[in-house]
Amino acid sequence: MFAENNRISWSQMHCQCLLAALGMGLIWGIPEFTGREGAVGILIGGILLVLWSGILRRQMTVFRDPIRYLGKVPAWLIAGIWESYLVLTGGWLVGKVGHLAGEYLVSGVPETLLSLIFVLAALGGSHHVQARGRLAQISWGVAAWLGGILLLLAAVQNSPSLEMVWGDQHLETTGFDWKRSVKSIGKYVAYGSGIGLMTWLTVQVRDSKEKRKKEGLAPAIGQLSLWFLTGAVLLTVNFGTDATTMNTCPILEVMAGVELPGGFLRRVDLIFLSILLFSLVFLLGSIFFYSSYVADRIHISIGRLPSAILCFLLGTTAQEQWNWSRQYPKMLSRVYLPVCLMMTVCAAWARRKSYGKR
Amino acid sequence: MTDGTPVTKNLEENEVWFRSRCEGCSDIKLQPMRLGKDGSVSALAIYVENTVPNLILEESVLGRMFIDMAGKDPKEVYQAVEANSLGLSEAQPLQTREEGMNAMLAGNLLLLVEGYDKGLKIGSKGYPARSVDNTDTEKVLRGSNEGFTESVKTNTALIRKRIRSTDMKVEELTAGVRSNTRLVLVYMKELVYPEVLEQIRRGIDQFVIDGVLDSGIIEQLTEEDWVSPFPQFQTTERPDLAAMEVLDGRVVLLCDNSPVALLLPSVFQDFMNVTEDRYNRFEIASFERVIRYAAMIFSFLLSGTYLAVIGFHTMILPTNLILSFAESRQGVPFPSLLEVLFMELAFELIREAGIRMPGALSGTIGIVGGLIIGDAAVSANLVSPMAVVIVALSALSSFAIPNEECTSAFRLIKYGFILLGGLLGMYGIVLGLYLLLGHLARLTSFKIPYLMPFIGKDIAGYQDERDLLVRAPMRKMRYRPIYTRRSQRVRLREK
Repeated sequence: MFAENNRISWSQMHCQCLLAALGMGLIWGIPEFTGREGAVGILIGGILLVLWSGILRRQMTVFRDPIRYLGKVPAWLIAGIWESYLVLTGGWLVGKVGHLAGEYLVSGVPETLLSLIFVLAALGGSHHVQARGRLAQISWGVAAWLGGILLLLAAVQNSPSLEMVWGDQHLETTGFDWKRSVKSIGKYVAYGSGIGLMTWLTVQVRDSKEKRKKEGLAPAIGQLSLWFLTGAVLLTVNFGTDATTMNTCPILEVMAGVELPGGFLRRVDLIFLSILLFSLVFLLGSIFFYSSYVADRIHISIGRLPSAILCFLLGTTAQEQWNWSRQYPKMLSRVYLPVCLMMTVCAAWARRKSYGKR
Repeated sequence: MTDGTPVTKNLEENEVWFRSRCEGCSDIKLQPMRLGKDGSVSALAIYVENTVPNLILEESVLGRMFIDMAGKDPKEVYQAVEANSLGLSEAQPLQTREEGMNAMLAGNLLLLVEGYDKGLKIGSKGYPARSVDNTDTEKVLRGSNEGFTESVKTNTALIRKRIRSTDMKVEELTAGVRSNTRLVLVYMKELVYPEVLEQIRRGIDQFVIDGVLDSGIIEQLTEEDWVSPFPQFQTTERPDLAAMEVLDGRVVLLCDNSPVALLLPSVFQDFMNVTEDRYNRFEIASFERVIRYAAMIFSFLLSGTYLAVIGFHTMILPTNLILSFAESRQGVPFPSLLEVLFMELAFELIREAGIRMPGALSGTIGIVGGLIIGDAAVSANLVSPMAVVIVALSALSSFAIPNEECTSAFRLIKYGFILLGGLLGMYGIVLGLYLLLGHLARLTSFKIPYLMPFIGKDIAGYQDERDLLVRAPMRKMRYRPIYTRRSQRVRLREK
């Protein structure tokens, strides 16, 4: 009758992707994509991600029932890889947010407690696929408008510096670093390798009957790339290509300098950070949800609690002991990106094989 | 009462049965009568005192009936009774004694006649009830001021007055083992989803309860998420709103002895809309609606955000404002969190006292609240003026929410945000907002997402009614909401 079929629309899927990626990308991602090379990395990397998502979209059928198409052991292996990806990302996020909250938002409260509260809030959110879709759909509109207006204000107030940095004088003195550009592309694709989860998730998305072509994640990837490009340009204008070496969150330093018309509020970085924090808690909630979801698809019911506990331990105790989170970006580039590409190939082969049997 | 003991032709047997069940009920009268020529036909009239007019009054229908029968032969008396020759409205033969008992307890007269194997239910004025009056809780500047009463018959008629079509169905149900309360479902057969109707009927049937004294009991027993503070059924005392919603494909549930009707299904937007939104011009309606939504946000967020800003994020405020806050808090011995909690609880006390206070003294509450709590507390340095302003604004904002149950939900949630803001600053506020939105996203009312139509465009067959935050001009509002069957979504078109 109404929304009873446990599925969401592509619009809700896009909103989930946008909301989940925005905070993490703007706070910790874009400092690595400053300069023209970084901008090229975002643009071309975005195109590559769109192409990859198109290939993954065709492999949906395999992941409707991975044990049937791939066999039990390969299905479990692939699910295990994704579970580790989710848990590592969640653990990294928990540690980062605890630190971020302690530094920017709540002084005098231990970071471990802030991380725990963060995990509990993420756990307390919706654990139903349609509810998460609705939550994303209603939150994304507000977040996008508010965040967009603030970024636009920042861009307008920084526009004189923009001309200077991107003008002819700069081009003549520095030249274009192609090697760095290629590295940026690779990095962007590695950071976006989470779209490999898409094949697991799109079984829960229904196509619109009105649109002739099958939909995919291209609009979401395109929109996200635009956000990140804007953020990267702002960072370049303010800090040059050195943003990545800063210990603080560069985008928040940029927003701290933005003034609202009328001088109603002295600083808007708090509002911007609040929007990004919402995105981060949504991301962590999604990690818990999809961790349980991926396990369900290989017929193992674990719920969300195990991943929540692991993420918390990784983000607090393990981080204190081994400071492992510094290796996280490298793990994405050197381990998960090649593995995700291999899984894409395997899934394509399994799909062809299943057509051959018919 | 589930057994069906048939009414017999032997009046004495029937009388013994009824007397045994009505023993100790001094308000139930069993009046023997003699009908027909020479009083040769025995009869028994059973009724609840004060529900039936004086039987012997000539001008009453019953009086005329009995006078008419006085001159008839016994055979003619039976024929007159059976054929209802006087054309009494609501005269209905009943097969069993239990049906007769129920009919009598519902405020009708039950007539048993010697030699006639049915009981005759004769409708009468029924139990005493309040007349149609203005509503106290749903005030509007434009539109009807009529309100529902405690009589389900009157309430049904008030809706029928506005929808003069036999497409509007009125279905009677009974709930409460001892109370046998009459429930009525009012809906447009062409517009409503049969699955929703069926779900409502199942919901009413699923519990066995001794008494249903108000629609609130039905509401709490049948709503899907009974833990949530947010209401999932809209309530109203306004017949015009009920009629409007029936035309939008919803079901109105009326409960005898309750002036509050339930509107099913219900989504969040329904609790923020008022009937005036449709009667006024679209610019005014849109403006008022935006104010209402802003007020809704202030009602639960303002106090918590104030605490977060002054406790953790003072750098966001202009310097003059910070100095002003600091100056106003000078000498106040309590932390801001306690100060705001104290004021909020004091306001709750005033509010509760205001509801219970007799009408003549209710004005006193304003004086007591304003002078003693507000002014004197500030003068005594117990609280700062800013805290009073914030709490007052928050309270005013909650009064702007049209639906009382929705207001209550936000009032409760406000305390959560006060604690989160006071202890964790904006970090707590944001996480609290995430949990709140997550909860609202999870709620459904008869499978319709609670956040409709904010998330409506994805639900198959949904067409934008153009009645969201901003209302479109009336001639552009062509579609009915999601409650209506897909084939009946068009509400307005040009000839």
